Amino acid sequence: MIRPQLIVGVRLIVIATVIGLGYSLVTTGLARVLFGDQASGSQVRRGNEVVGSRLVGQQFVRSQFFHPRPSASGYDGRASGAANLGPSNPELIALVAQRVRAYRRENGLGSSVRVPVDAATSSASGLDPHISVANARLQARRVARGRGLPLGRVNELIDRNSERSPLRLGPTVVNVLELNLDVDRLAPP
Amino acid sequence: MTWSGVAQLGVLVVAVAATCPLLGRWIACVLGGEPGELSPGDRIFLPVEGAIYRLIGVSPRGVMNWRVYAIAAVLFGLINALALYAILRLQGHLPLNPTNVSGQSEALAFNTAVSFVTGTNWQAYAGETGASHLAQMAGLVTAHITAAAVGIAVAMAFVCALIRRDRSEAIGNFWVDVVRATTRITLPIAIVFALLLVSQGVVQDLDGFQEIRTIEGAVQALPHGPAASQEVTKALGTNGGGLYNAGSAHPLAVPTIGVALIELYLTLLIPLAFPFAFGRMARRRGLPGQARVIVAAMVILFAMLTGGAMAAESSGNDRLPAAVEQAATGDNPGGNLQGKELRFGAEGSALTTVGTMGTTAGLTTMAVDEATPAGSGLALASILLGEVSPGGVGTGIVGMLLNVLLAVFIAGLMVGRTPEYLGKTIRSANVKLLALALIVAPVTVLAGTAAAVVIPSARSAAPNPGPHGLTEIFYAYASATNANGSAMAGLGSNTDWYNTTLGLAMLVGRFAVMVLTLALAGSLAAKTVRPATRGTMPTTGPVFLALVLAVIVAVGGLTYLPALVLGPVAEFLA
Repeated sequence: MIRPQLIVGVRLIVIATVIGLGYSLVTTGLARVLFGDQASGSQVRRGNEVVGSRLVGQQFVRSQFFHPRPSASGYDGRASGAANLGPSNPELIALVAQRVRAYRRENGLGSSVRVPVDAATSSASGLDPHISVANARLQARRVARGRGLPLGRVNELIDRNSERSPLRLGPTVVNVLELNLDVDRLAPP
Repeated sequence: MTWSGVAQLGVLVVAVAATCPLLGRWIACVLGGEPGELSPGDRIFLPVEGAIYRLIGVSPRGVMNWRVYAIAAVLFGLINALALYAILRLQGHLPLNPTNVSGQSEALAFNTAVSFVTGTNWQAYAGETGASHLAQMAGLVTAHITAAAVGIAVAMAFVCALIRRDRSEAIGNFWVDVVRATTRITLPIAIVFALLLVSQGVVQDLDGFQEIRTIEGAVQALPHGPAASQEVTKALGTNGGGLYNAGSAHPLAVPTIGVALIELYLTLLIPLAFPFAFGRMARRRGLPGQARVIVAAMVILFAMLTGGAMAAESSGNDRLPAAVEQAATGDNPGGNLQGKELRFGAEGSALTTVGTMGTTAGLTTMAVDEATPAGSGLALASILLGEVSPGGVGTGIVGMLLNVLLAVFIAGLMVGRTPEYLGKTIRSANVKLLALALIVAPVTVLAGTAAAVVIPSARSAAPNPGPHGLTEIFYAYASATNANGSAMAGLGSNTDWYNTTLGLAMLVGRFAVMVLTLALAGSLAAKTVRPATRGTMPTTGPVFLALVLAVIVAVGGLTYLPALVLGPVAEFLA
């Protein structure tokens, strides 16, 4: 009873492996032909150079740039993941309090100004490319001053880089990389 | 609930309501007939399937009783696991490895192989550095496809046995069921959705890490790979896993809320279609309306568990300093955003994560370890209720039917009549098998958790202090045993203890239950059917629905109440 089923099973696993590999390769080929830009990661170029992906966040620390969300991996593309600090973990509470202080100090905000939650918490992937509109607005003054731009122009750039979700299925988000590229274009450092 | 939450649920309900009944009908037609009967799609698929049958040496007209079926299923799983183990150990020497991944260690490869073959897809490794592109495509995606096929096949065998009226012991042909499930159900859907996902930005190529210079001059590696094809098989087959450590939270795997909702939809598609297939097959044999209670129970449980999680996450983490603005406004989506992606929002993350917890897929668009106690508690509850909301591909309808049989049995005890379902009497031999099948998972989960909590080196793998740490360990064993595969990822589970014990939990949870289910199917298949009388308890209608829901919640609740109180409930009340 066992031997015949074993032989069939081995043969079927071989076929299944061919199917799995084949399906993946066929999809890769079709994807490249039909949706080449998306298939290769939605890369963003400045001139001839690739400076990142529209979908993947990257680190910004200088004061003339908009800063992204905190990341548990420092935006390392080889190591995605979250901080995995539970909601009642004192380490998390302390870290968030520290981020609130740093954010207020960096952006010249008084101690009565509340910090948007996306600026004080880290993401699930460590590579979140977005910040909230509220977060961007609170950073606008610092960036405008750093670049010698009127605040209104910077706010306009934020509006231009705010992505509304179709049917409002998701929140309105601001892509930090594209926003900073626009700022660079408007007022080169 | 915000407008976003309403819109997300609305889109989901429309998509599911429009397609699941139709797919159910398709499943009944292509898998639910007698061997040799004509099915839709024969002209296209029969030549391909015929070639496969010839290559493997199987006659498509042969039928099996439950013993042969079980032997075939277990052997298939064993061979699959060995093949996958080999690929994972040797991947450093095999081609198509642009990320230069070396072979997995013995314990890790054992755990991963068992994990993927059982449809759990627990990953004690990080996707970017633990599996080569070849292993992903030829090993892991293959396991996605075979696990789904086996799930569908065993469920079909169970359903056929239940509704069989000709007193035959035959419950199907495992090889035919597995091949047909792949050629006529999973593969066609997969190819279409994989390309849809790529169009939305999901990466799909064979490159490795692309090193680029960021705007500020730092170096960043963009992780390329064949993500879209795997995202689809991971969702459609209610498997889980993924190319990246961050799973479905990674922006190259799930770049928009739309893609996240598509993945959730795919995890619900086959499990929610199966009851319609069952209902159609039962109706053809003179038993109309049998699917209603099952579909209603699945939907009600899904709504309560997922709705609760959405509410919990959108109201934020009240332990954070008051200086953090968690209230939702037009400019700030608010909610508990720790361990969440902004493009999904707090509600969307809860929906697309907790929504998959009841399907054995266990996709994580958010970090479960960082959810509110209610959020992670409801994720855990979805798993502990036995994965029936709506459950995994095949395992969902089976789990529901086991609960239905239990409900029928309990009702029979209460009114002093011999319990019967679909005209077949449930006797003590059947009930023994039923009880065993339902008890395997809880015993495994609780024993595993207890052992890990008592052994200091295992307990210290949970980094979060207090009740949250207990929940992390409890969650791991619940997830592994019930073939879910999600994790509270703070748990350092790439140790010999966890790799071995979780691997064993996965084997027991899947194969022991499978064999017991097939044995139960065998014991029901050849039974004589009694005609319905005025004394027969109706298994349609709201009273029976309430009974089934009560059985699911009471049995699950009573079994796990102490552990839940010590973990999520304690953290919630603190």
